[in-house]
Amino acid sequence: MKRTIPLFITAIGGFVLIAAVFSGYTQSWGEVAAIWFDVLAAIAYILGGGNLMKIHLKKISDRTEGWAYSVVTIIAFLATLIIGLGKIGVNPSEQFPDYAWSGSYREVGGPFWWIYEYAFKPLTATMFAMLAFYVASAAFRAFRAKNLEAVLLLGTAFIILLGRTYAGVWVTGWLPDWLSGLKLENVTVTIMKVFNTAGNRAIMIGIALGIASTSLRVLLGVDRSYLGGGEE
Amino acid sequence: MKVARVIGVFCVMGAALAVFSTRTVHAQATGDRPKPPWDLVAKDRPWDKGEKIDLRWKLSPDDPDTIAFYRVYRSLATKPAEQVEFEDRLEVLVDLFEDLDVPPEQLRAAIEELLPRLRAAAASEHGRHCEYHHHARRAVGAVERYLAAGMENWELNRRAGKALSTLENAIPLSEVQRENEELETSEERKAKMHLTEPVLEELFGRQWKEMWEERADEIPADVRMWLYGRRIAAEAEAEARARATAAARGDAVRWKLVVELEPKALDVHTGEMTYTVEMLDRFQEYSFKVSAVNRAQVESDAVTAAARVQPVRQIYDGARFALMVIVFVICGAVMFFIQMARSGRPLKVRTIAGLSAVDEAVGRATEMGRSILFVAGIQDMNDIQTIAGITVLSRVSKLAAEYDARVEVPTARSLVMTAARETVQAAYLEAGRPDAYRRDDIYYVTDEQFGFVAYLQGMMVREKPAACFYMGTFFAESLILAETGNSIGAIQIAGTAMPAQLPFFVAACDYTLIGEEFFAASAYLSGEAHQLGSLKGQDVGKLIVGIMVVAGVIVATALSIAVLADHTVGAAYLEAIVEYIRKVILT
Repeated sequence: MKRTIPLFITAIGGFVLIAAVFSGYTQSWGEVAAIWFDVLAAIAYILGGGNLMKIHLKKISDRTEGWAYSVVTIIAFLATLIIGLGKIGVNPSEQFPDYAWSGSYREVGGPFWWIYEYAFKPLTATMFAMLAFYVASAAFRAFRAKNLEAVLLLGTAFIILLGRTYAGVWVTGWLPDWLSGLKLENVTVTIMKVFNTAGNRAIMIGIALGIASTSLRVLLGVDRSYLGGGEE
Repeated sequence: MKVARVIGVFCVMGAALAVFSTRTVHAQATGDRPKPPWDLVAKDRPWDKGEKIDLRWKLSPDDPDTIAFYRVYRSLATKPAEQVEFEDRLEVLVDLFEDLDVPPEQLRAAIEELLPRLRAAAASEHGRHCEYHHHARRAVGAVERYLAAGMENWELNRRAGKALSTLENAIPLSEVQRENEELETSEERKAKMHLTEPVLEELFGRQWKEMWEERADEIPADVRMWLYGRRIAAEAEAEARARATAAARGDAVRWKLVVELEPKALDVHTGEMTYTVEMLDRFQEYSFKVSAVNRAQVESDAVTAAARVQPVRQIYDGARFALMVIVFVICGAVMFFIQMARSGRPLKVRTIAGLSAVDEAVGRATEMGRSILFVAGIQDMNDIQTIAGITVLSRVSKLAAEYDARVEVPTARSLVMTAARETVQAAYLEAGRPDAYRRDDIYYVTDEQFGFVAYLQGMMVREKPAACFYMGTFFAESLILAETGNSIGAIQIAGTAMPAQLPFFVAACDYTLIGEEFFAASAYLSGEAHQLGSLKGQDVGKLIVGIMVVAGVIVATALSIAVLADHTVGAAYLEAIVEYIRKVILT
């Protein structure tokens, strides 16, 4: 029963939504299903919050390696939650000045806004900025000319890198108009437009077919591993 | 030999196109008014979802080369008179609620007069202007509660007034009203912003003017703007009503230019043009007219369709017929091969290196006595990639249970955590090791993308897992995770259907499942014949795609040849085919 009911719901929901795409009357059903999912996901936040507290409190209690990070996590979590839900420091809205909680929790200058602006955003930007260094290290490793494929990759990458900078324009700027197709900026465009697009589309077609096949396996109950195994 | 045949085919096509050659005449454009097109017929598009009207008209009798393009117009949609009347009454009722001096009897009479219409608005068709109906339901509830309390509860009075006001604001504007609003936001409106004395008097009446003079500083600018906005809205309403009435009489239709269409060679050849007007409201009737514009930009009189047409929603959307056929064929093939596999027919699936390495990765983690990290992407369970990732987790955790290795699954979504727990628990049970299952190893971190990455990065550096699996939807975090895993010397297997992230995984991971390989992983790892059958079914899809790609390339190439050879009619036919493929089959 634990498997049958979810499978039944999945199959009915999936096939009805597939059929709904082909009728003018039912094309909005997909949006309704998405709203149902949002409701479920919103409720699951409580589950997630509870789990977060449990895991980190346990880490602190056991004094496992890095438990101090858990202290920071719990303090940050609770402080943001209380300030956000309690609308602490938020002024009442002009429309309802008598109601203390009528203001927006994202009010500019409010504590929640301050946390977002001066703690969350810089931290996120820091993580994102690390990407630049990782790109460099990954490119350094990937572009080692150890075989023919790697040499081709290296050559193409070199052209693209040059073609996207002023150096590329400068290096091949002297070429006459009848050879303009060989200018690095134009070669770059050709590589991206023809070779890259062709390869990308091939992958996309494979992905689309893979999605169709996986969806069918799930809807037909052939693959039940996402429900925790194949047997009843 | 094959190459020679292909070249031969193109030569024959080129020669065939020569048959369709047409002469090009460049007539002198004149400033005379061109003759109008004629016989305009507007019909509801059959088998659509109620938003398209097909137009067909005969071309202007003038020399086709003198006509630059045809202008297609449609009438602007207005609201039915009874709806406009309802909105008027609603506005009055809102004003009565706001006015504290109104006697209760007058308010009750106004409420009771409007309540049946309010109830009708709340109960009318769900889905269209959903927000409006939602607010109508809330307003009915608030007003009924207020009446039930004998109209003496001040809080209920305030709530009812607020609900009615919200409903008033939620009423969708008709096209005519929207156009009026756009007009009002133009330079003309900006000019009106200077509140001169006569304007103030007009705006606020004598009482307001006195108040203005006595306590001008007390009226904040936003209140003035609000009052001014109300006047503008009232004007727009009045104009809309006037135009709706006029439109109902049929004597003053407001027209909107839909498109300017250049006649193609095929149109000139057949002597008529067609066009489908899209994105119409199926609750409205429309009129259509078409005019010709010559090369001197002089517009002809317009031909108007004989009758107003309303789009009708059909039970079957014919625009998706091609998609339906493709879905049936591919799904049918998948189901056929699953059935075939179930009947015992052997199926061969090529070796996928990344999946063959799963054993190696889990074994390595066991030998090193370190954990296995499994990341199922950063999307929720409604993403097919997450589901595919969870199915792979099932196989990985079963292996881990058999080898007595520890699997750690941090998730970015609570629902994924729940699903992953169920999956891993069942895998441990299947492996005969339910006692080894550790629920707390599958946990929620945060929904926030870079917060999740920061946690994973720290955890990886501290705990140094021996094997890392990245299976699901990834965005910018893919490279951060893969590079961190690389730096700690973990064996890494990634799988995703995000084309932009694949190069990063390929560069930094030991094995990468690219696109369809990722979706095949669960079936491949299970080794079950009926699951492998579904992979065979995919091959039929590839065959169809291959045939369509070849056909599309041939038609597009032939079109290019026809254009180069100036075979206009042939090119027009081929262009129609290309357009059909592009607009109907590919979308």
